[in-house]
Amino acid sequence: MSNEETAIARSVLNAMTDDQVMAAKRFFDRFSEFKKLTKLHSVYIEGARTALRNTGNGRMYVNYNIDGTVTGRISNSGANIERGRNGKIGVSFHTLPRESLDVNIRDYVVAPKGHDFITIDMKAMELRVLAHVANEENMIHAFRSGVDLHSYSAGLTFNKDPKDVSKLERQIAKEVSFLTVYGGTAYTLASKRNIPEERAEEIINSWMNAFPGVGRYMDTIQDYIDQFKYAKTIFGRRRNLPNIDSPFKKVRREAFRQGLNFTIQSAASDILLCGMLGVIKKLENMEAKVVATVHDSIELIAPKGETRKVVEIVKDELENYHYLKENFHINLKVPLGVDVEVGSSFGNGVEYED
Amino acid sequence: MLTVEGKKFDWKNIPLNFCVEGNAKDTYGTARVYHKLLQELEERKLGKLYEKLIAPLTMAFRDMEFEGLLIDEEKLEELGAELVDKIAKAELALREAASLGEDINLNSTKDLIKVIFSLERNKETKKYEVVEDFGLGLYPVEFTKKGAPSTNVETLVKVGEMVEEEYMARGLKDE
Repeated sequence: MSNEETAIARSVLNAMTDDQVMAAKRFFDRFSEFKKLTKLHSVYIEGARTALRNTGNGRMYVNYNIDGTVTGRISNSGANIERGRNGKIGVSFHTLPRESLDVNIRDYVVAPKGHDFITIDMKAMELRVLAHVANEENMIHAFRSGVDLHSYSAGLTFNKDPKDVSKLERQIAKEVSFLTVYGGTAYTLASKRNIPEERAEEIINSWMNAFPGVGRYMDTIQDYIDQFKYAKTIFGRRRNLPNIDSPFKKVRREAFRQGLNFTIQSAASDILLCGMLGVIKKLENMEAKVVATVHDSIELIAPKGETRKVVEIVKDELENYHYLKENFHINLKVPLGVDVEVGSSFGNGVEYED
Repeated sequence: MLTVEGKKFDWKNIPLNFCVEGNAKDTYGTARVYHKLLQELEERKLGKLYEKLIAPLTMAFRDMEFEGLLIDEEKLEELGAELVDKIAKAELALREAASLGEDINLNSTKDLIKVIFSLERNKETKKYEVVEDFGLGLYPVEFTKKGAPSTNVETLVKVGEMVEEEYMARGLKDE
């Protein structure tokens, strides 16, 4: 949509009465909910029904694409036996939402009788990778001492004892950390939090001062991309960024953002995948197996009697990243952490305690 | 892989000696490409990434793709019913809030254009004209190639956001 069209739309809105604006707002609030619900139904309910009809064995199948993204992250999609919607034998596991609009769609993906569905989530993976690659001492310290990173950074940002940080301040600090990594601006924060842009700028600067290593890292990456026209991760993956020489500042900035983000997201994904390979190897002689991976998580199915042992193995492999150390000789400056949930389905897991 | 122009390809129509030759060439070609790409990987220092991560991952994903995921059909139907119920409620709330009559079909593009943009296509002139005293009267920020107001997700999200901005900027409060 062009700027002119947006400007016209804005002036049309400006000319409307308060009642008209209110009516439009009421409509869109409810309309977006209605649309989301109908989409959930058609993609995940009807989609799964079609899949089950086609497979006839109570299962659905997912395709994994290892070269589907520029960052090297894994993407996946529902498998097909023939072209078109009617040939579907799965729905995208990738977008299978968590509890969404109070409907727990993931609940229909289950473990067989007598088995547990185990979900392992890597905790704050990308920020841990950032701390490592940027060699950011305060962040490394926070991760090592096991404090809540966002309360800690809110403390530094708002110059308070982390104990006295409010929920909102913690949330803002969390948002700033992701803004920095993914290239948002003061404007993004200001409009999201409904605060003046100057205040948002202040908060971001304060956060950057709290973690000076991050700024230094950004400078290093900028120089690197300027020189080589690509960004490179600790695994050696490259993302070419020819746009870094664009005559347009906006385009150059976007290329930098992509490069910076690539060095973190891609590495985070590769660390998880190494962990998954390590887990698969260690479970070779057991009945338990890895059945899926999505985002920063790994999903397993294990006979109930094996669950305790499996969780122990998986935790050890992922937190101590043996596969990564042995095969890539990468020693991280921060510990890795996982959340383990066990249930009878992908959606109903509860925190596992042994 | 062998391709045959025109007809739908089927191995059973190919004489065995042709299959053998074709497959041999296929294998030979793949082997040559493999060595060439391997060399390129080494030059870029990506050999280890390939050997220790990408290659074993392909096997790991093959197993997962083959295994599939077990679905609880009863649960699926339960969730489906739950959603249908929610959709009906959401639709009712939407109709009430926007005073939409039963004649308006929320899944019809034509009706949505009328409701959101107060526009209707004149069958004779084939142009969109304003419908007086009906709908929200918003401006469609995007048009399709044929000149129709766009009702795709991105456009509607954008229009919704602009409404939200205006609502906030005016400091309005809905009861």
